[in-house]
Amino acid sequence: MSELSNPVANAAVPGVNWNRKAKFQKRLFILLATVPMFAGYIVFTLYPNLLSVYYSLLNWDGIKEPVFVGLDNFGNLLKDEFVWRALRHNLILMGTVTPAVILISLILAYLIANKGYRFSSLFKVIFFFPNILSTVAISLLWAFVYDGSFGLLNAGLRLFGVDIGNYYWLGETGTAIWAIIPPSVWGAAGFYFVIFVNAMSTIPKSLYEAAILEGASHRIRLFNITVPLIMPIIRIAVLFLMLGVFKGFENILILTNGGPSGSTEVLGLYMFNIAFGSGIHNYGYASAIGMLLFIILVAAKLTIDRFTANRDSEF
Amino acid sequence: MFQPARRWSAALICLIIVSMLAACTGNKENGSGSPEARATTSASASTEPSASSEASESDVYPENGLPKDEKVTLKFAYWENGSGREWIDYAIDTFTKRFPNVSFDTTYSPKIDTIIGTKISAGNDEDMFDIFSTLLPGGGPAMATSLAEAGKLEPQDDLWDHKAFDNEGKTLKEVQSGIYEGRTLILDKMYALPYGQSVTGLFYNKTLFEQNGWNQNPKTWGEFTELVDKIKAAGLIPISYPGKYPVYLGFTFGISQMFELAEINGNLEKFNDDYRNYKAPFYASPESVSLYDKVYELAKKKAFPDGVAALTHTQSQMQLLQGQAAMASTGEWVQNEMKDSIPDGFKWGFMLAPMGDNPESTKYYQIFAGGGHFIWANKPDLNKKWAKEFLAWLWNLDVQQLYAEKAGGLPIRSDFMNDAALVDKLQDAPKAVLEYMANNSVKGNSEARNKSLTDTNAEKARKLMEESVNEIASGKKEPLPTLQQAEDLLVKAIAAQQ
Repeated sequence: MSELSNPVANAAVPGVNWNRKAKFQKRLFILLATVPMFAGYIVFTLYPNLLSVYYSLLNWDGIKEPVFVGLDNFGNLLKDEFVWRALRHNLILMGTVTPAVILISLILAYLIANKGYRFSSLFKVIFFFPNILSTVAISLLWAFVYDGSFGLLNAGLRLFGVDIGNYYWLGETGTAIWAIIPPSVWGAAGFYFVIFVNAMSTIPKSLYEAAILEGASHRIRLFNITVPLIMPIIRIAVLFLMLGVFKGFENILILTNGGPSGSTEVLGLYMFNIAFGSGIHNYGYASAIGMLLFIILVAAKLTIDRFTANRDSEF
Repeated sequence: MFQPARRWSAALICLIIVSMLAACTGNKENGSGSPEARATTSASASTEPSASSEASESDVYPENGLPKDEKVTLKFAYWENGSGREWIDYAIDTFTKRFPNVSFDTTYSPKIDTIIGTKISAGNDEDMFDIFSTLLPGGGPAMATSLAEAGKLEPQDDLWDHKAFDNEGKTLKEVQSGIYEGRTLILDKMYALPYGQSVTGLFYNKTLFEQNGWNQNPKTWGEFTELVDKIKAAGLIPISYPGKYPVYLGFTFGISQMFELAEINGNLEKFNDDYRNYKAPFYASPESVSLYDKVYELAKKKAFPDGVAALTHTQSQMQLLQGQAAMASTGEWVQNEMKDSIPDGFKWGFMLAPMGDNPESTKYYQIFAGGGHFIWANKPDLNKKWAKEFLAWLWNLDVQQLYAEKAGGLPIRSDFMNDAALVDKLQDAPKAVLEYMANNSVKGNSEARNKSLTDTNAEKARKLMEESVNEIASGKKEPLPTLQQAEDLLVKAIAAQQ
């Protein structure tokens, strides 16, 4: 008879009891540690998202009884020029904000991590500072920078002899969408700068010393040593940035409210206005747009995985 | 042997607590708790005032026959805006002193529409406010129409027959100062008794106009454009408005001006029917085309600021106060809202942009449903009765006086308006509005409709026009093609709804 098959006998053996007790305690600890968060995830994230899938099949204004319309909302979505216009704006922002943040954060992080400046700690605080401000604060700040009458930008240009009068950067369709980029980059770069600094600090200095001996410049060291070694982190950063740019619209809501003439409207804002805006609310159609956003984000994730796989190195 | 069982029990208890929390999010209250109990116990006293005949007279209030011994708490959502909250707090305070069994659970917020919208969407009648601001999500009348169609709002037409608390013998309709005709109706019923008037149009600095000898009361479109030319020649922006919220241009060049044009064209009745009942044409109607042509005409004269699309309402109103703009399209609340920024010597003036060529024609202005509060229909009868009593209380002269003095609003009682001493207590901007009304033939108009269009094409049409306003006002886009495009979308929406 094996040790484990005789419970009466095993009860008399202290080692077995402790082992069982330890296993039980371990399982209980895992349960207590994970269940609350998992339950919160189910209640506050998964359940609403699944409900949103259901809402996307309805015509519902939140007040009257919902009417099941099947895939009509998705059909309307495909024909809605406002959706495609908003998607274009999302792609413009994704194509500019993401590489700008990554590049700026990488360069700043490389300089701080490798140049050994005297006030590195201070620089870290300064670069990270925009990240502690709320989106509202950042947007209001930049709204004043772009103001035509009293804005910092026009005043700065005048200092350099460029007088464009009271030009409202956020009020013209040609410049508004591009004016969204600097506050987005300014607000996000600090966070990724800190992540990259910490990642770069784990790279052995011997690699750089060897490269210096070989005559490698800073540019070569950055792109041939540093970037490959922290590629997994860069990949995650790119993914988070893309997701954030696609989903986020708070800064646009405050800076331009989607204007002028819809030239800065993005999918998230369009969806928000359909659900909560000044016209008739249509939670069903807004949810359908949300589903489109979900599909786009999944596709973005798969694209990143496809094009950045096997690009990292180890040391 | 019992130890593992205890620990598993602890784990299960955690799971149960979480499950209960999850279940609570889907819990639909049907008023089965205390509100119904209150309704049940008070039903005999509240549904029929005469039903309390068996009770002694001291058990009910003489003003309204409602019971003194039934405690009621009214959940009240107040929009904290440029009017402040001093006047409403005074009204609540005096009301609860007079009727001590009634208490208020008040939520104040500048973003009360978001809070109201969330509670409406939650579908929990017990949690919903009893009385709430007419500022609903979106700010427009669309949601109110939907709520009325769904039977969620309590009609308040009976309040016109309510006796004034401080003018015995006279009903509210008998003491109103002319707002009855312009009251907001949805589906032919009134759902929010106004407590004040909100009038929008062009506000200007009288001092500036007097110094330059500009016409402060243009009576025709020709005189108005002449004024714009003179202001432009003086190097000022003739008309400022916050382009970030294009609805502000509609305060001066909006639905009411279309009604004015319809009256000029002899087409008022048809236009009114078409507008209220969502019948085509609307965007491409002669009135709408004429209005937007006028805006475009002003745009060609550079009447509106450069970069207007970027202006917030604060920036736009500051342009007026700082003398960069001669006029601002806004409402009478502007003085109270900007009171900390008004320079010395600034005197408020008001005018409406006349649409026609006849100096004697009636000028239309927008009356907003913002002057009033809704009552949630699915509440206990006693709550709704007390809610109505409170809304009638807001008509008391002392409340109206404070509303005029502290909130910068326009009262709605004729005995107030006919008392020079009381009128003198109004702030200058509302006084300017009254002065204009006294010197011109004017008529208030509501933008409410009798039905809602839920088809997405209706929303697309509205959005198309909203986005085009700034471009038309900047002279970058001619109005007619956009109006036609919007009309095509509206026709599709109307057809889909039928």
